[in-house]
Amino acid sequence: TISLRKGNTRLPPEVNRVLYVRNLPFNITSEEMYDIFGKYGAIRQIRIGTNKDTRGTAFVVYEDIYDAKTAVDHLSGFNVANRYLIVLYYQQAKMS
Amino acid sequence: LQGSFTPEQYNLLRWERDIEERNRPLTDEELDAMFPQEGYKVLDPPASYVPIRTPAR
Repeated sequence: TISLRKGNTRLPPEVNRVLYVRNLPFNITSEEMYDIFGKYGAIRQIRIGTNKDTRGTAFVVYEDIYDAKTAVDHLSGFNVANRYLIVLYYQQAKMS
Repeated sequence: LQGSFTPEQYNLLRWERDIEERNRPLTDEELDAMFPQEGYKVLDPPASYVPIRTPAR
């Protein structure tokens, strides 16, 4: 049984459900975060930076990998409060 | 059984399994293990948040 779902395009290996976001306004609210990122699909979890060196960054986890891809495609360079968001796929090896 | 697939169908099937694996639900423990333990806090969804249900799910 081979289903032909709508997102039947191959996903490059770096695509995953966790996004690493930089250049967020420090005072962004939970409502704003869920509003901006929730537009592209159901969100599993958001983690936001709280320290001096992590503020302005966040991890956004989507439920579905295709939604994460759509979000990256649309939100890179997105303007929030006169800042341009940097949205990347999270690569665990690079972080630790 | 494999003989009943064309190579193209076989590749498609293999690719679908790969995506299924990358798209399986994550547990909280897996999420905790994924991120730095310090410097980040889980942002609770606002009361107004209603997740969009995508056709894929």
